[in-house]
Amino acid sequence: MQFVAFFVFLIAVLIMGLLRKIIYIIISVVSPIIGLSQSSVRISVFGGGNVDFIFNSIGDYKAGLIYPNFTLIGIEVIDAVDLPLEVDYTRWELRFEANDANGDGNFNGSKPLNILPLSVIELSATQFAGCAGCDFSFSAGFLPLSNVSQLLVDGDLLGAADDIPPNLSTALDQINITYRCGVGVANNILRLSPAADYYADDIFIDLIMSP
Amino acid sequence: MLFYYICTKQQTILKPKLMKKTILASALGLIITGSAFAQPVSDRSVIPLGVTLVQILRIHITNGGNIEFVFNSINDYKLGIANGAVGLYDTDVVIASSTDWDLHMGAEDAGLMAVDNNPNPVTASIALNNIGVTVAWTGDGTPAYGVDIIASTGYPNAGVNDLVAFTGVMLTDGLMADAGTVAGSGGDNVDLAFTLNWECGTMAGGGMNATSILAQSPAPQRYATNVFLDLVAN
Repeated sequence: MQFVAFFVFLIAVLIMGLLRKIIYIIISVVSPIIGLSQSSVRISVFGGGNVDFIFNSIGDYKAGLIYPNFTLIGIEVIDAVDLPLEVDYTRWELRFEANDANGDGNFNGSKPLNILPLSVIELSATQFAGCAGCDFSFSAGFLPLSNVSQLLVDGDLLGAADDIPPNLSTALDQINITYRCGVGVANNILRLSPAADYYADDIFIDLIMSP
Repeated sequence: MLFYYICTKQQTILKPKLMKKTILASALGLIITGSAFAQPVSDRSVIPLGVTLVQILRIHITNGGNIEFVFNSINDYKLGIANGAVGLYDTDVVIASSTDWDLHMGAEDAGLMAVDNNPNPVTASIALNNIGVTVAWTGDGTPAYGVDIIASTGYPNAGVNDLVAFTGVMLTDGLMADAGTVAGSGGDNVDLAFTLNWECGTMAGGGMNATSILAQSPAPQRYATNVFLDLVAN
């Protein structure tokens, strides 16, 4: 009944020639509300956004290289009132994978035949600031890089309970990422004996929020 | 009645304009609402990563880079000059390599060439097989750090081998070869070190000349050649 009454009123207003003003009022009032009230996630890389391992001594080849706390990222996780349909987000996670375009599981050098396994690179995440609900146990050791997405940091510390809120912000909640290359017997560059070349690829860091 | 007329008149005027405005408003509403629905619940950051592998392949002679056999007694001519235990006829070599490697060793000339007066410089004055060499591994690791010493065809014997001419082909002048083990043969100069024990005219077997220098009776003068040690990545 209320809806019918409103519809009749709208027709009357139209006839009276106030349609333009009403529409403008609706758009100007409703749209900001719609724009502001949305859940969102955001990653900000504050430092170490380009990683380069350079092996130029036998010592490097034998022991490998480690870059501790090299990349600093801030994470924003906001579970707000969603319009027109509310979604209650309860958990988030930070994942990583290599951009392996040809899917062979290897870095590729400047010459196509020169390859280096992705797994010689390993990542670990630790807390830098805030991030009270972060579970770093998944990368307490080091995780090998691969073309399969892997969990780096889990924002589901409470399990079945709702971990969001508290919301996270890039200014207050920050994570360090440590990299190492050629460390350990299996990843030893001397043992693998790849050709001297420049091997490159991208690492995707994904922040995903889910209900 | 009047109200009805006014409404009808207004309706006739306003209908096309009304439709346009309605459509415009609906479109705007859909766009804004669509934007609201498309708010990301995932975000991605890209971090470029590179690995630069600089080739390290170095060979150093740390001792005995110039070997001189001086025959100054009949005994020397009859029995040759053995390596002995004092290290005077030893060459110490170290290698540093970031990859698997092979090592060639061979003389620059077909024989030991007379340097003072050689009427036929293109021919060998004293045969190379009068020179014998034994390899002693001194680096870390047993066996020799992923390196195959004796299976290289150029110097196949476990003990003494005769010096051969340099060819650059493992089959004929290979001294050491990567053994193809999982560990590989790369390493630093503590891992990869060996000594070449030289001897001359000793007729010790292993391909060495079975005739004494005395019997060969070369003209007395100085005979010399260069020995190349060529380290290559495997």
